[in-house]
This record gives sequence, structure tokens and C-alpha cells, in this order.
Amino acid sequence: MVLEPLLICAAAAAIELDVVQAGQIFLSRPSVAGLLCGIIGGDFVTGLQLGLCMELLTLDHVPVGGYVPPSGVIGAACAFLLARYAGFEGGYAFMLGFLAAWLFGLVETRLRHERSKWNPVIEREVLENPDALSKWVRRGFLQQFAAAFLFCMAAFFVLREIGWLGWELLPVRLRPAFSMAYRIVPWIGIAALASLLMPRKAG
Amino acid sequence: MERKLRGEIFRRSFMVQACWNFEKLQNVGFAWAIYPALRVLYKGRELGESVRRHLEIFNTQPFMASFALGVTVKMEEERAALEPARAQAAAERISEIKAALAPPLAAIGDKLFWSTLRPFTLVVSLLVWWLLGLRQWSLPLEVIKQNESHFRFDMPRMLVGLLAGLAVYNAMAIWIRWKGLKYGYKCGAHGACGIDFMDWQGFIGRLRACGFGAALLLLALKAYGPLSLGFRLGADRRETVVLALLPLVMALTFFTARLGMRNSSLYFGALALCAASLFFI
Repeated sequence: MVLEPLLICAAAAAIELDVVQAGQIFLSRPSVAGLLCGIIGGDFVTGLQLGLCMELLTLDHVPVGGYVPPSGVIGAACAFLLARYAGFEGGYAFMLGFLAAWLFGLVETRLRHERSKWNPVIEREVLENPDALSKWVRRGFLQQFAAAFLFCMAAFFVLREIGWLGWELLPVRLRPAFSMAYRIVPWIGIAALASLLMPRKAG
Repeated sequence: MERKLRGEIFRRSFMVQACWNFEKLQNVGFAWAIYPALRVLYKGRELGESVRRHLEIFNTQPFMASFALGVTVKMEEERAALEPARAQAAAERISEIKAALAPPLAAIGDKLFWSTLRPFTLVVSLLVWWLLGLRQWSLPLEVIKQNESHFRFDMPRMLVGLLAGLAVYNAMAIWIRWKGLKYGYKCGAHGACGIDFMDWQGFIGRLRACGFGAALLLLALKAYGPLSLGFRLGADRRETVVLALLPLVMALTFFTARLGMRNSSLYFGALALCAASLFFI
């Protein structure tokens, strides 16, 4: 029971590295993350559906320049954790997962500011020992992995508590709104796909 | 450039965004990627200084960075052959070329990879799933789980759809990385630095046209499948609200996405509408 959420957070943190730090081979698609979380958690249908919906909702966030988009990977992992281990209904877990994705964007921004402070130290070190560059690259990976892992765990525990509190406070007749809106996400996503891919005139 | 060295730089180019930071952006990743070439050209203190030179600000689209890497390796080779008096001017020229190359590479890469290939990959996955019979993935989870075998939800089908998307994306991304390194090096700082090795505008246009057609097909298939199933299942009040909202949401998304409105804004709008409908109806 405890091991599976830990493994899911570790898997999400490892996949999250693909977003910026290493690879960009698109393993960081939320649908891949969702399916992997589902395989680890023993419910791959829920994992894939939450991941795919997260991907459709976040696909219009393009990581151009310094823009830090919401993390679809963290969102998919948190949504799956909340649906599978906190017992939340899929649509509600998805909404909380998107909140986690957005919050991790703020953490990522903070990490990038922190790494700016490394520059003077790296420049000093490479003059004496150019091989030191590898150490800083490894350190960057480790920092990113640790931040994503810890955030994922913390988001799961905090959102589980806040989520239950919110669910209890919400009028019963309004609760199905989450599952209704969740069912609309694929339509928003596919219509947005068509719009994004619509040929445009050059110039 | 020797094949082994090119392979090493190519491998490291996958980590060109390592230690991405707001002050100097891809500086550490770029220096780390080019380091094997610098190690061949320089020794001792000179090696350290050359690495530090490449820790200057640099930012471009990560797949297209291989063009800049190829050009820089060529220019560093030329610089290493110069006498010390002219080496400083050559170093400044390398900096200028890197700074000049980054924006056009980013413009092409952002348009090709982020704005076109990324959504195209998702369209490929969804179409492959549809062809494999995995068509009802967006139905409520409880409905899927009750009919898991009927809806053909099995692991191999799911994986094939995902892998098809990954294969399309990576075939292009890896090919561009490899070719970028080759053409960048071949061209050096002359002419268009190898960027003109293909007709980007034409290729992106054709890819978008294919993706757009496929996305429209998906919308049509999707509108036919679950809607007919939804009605067959006997729509209740909530189901009716969702079904009534779908054409509105699709039309709104199609036009607002072109105006820059986020999908997430539409989702929260739909959530508010659903809550209001439950409250008032």
C-alpha cells in the first residue's frame, strides 16, 4: 500500500527528467506517465485515461523560451494516486491532478532560479577542472528528480486531505459536475488538436 | 569530425538542457555537449578556458541545438589551428555566431516540434487506438471497467498506440539531431550554417495538413461513436447536459484555441456550466 505510491512517485519523477533535463524523447507525455502509473498501481485503464485527458488538456502549453508549463507528468501521476489510493471519483481526482500540475510549474520556476546561482561556481570550477561539468550535470538531474519525487508525495498527501474536506463541504447535488466536466475534456482536447494543426498561411 | 566524436556529441546533445537556468539558460548543457570536442582540441588551462567560454548565455530549441553544436565544433577546430594573437578574435566570432544562430533555430524548432509534431504525435496515437478497436477510452471509468473486454482494453493495444506516437516523434527528432550535427559541422560558419538542408516551411505545412485532416477525422469518428453509445445507454439528466454541451464546447474550443485561449480555461468553464446546470435544472 505504501510501496506502490512511492514507486509511482519515483517513476513520475524519473519521467519528469525527460521534460527538460535529459532526452526530450517524449516519454514525458502524460499518457505514457499515466499508463506507467497504472501498470505499477494495478489499474492501467484508469492510468491511461487520466494521463490521456491530462495530455489533451495541457497540449496547448508550449515550453517556448522561459515559459514553464504545468507538468502533465506530475498531474497524471497525482490524479492517478488520488483516484486509486484516496478513493476519489475520476473527474474529481483529475481536477486535483491538474492543480498539482500547475503547482509543480511554480516549483520548477523556483528550481530554475536556484540553478542560476550555480553559474559563478561552475565557471570557477571548470577553469581548474573542466571535468567538473559532469558533476554539475548529475547534480541538476538529482535536484530535479528529488524535487519532483518529494512534490509528488507531498501533493498526494496534502490534496488527499484537502480533497476530502472539499468533497464533504460541497453540496451533494453539485458533486457530479466533476465527472461531467471530465467527460468533456477529450472533446476540448481533440477540437484543440484540430485547431492547433490547422494549416496557416506563411508570413 | 570523427564518427566516434560525432556519436559522443550526439549522445550528449540529448542533455543540452541539463541545468537549465533563468540566468544563462542552456549554457551548462551546451558546454557539456561540446566538451568531448574541446578535450580533443585543447589541453590544461586552455581547455578550462574554452569550456568557460561556452558557459555563456545560450538558448534555442533543444533538437535544433545540434546545428549550433556542429557549427561550433568546426569553428573551434579552426580556432585551435590559429596563432594566439588571432585566437581571441576567433573566440569572439564563435560567440557571435552562436548568438546569431539561436533565434532562427528556435523559431524553426518551436514551430516544427512544439506546435506541429507534438499534437501530430497525439493524433497518431489516437488514430492507431481507433484502428485497433480501442475506441471508447473516454467513457466513464465504471462503464469501461464493466465492459473491459468488449471495449478491447488490453495492454498490447494500449502500448502499440503509445509506441506509434513515440516512434513518429522520435524518428523525426533523432534524425534532425543527427543531421543537424552533420550539416552544421560541414557548413561551419559559412552561408546558412546548414539550416537550409531542407525546406522547413514546406515540410511543416505538409505535416500540419496531414495532422489537421487526421484530427478532423478523429472528431468525426469520436462524435459518431460515444454519442450513439451514450444515447443507447439511455441518457439520464446529467448525460443529457454533457451531450448538449459537446457541440458548443467543440465549436468554442476550435475558435478560441486560435485566439490563444487555454484548454484549461475551457475545462474550468465547462466545470462551472455543469455545476450551474446541476444547480438550476
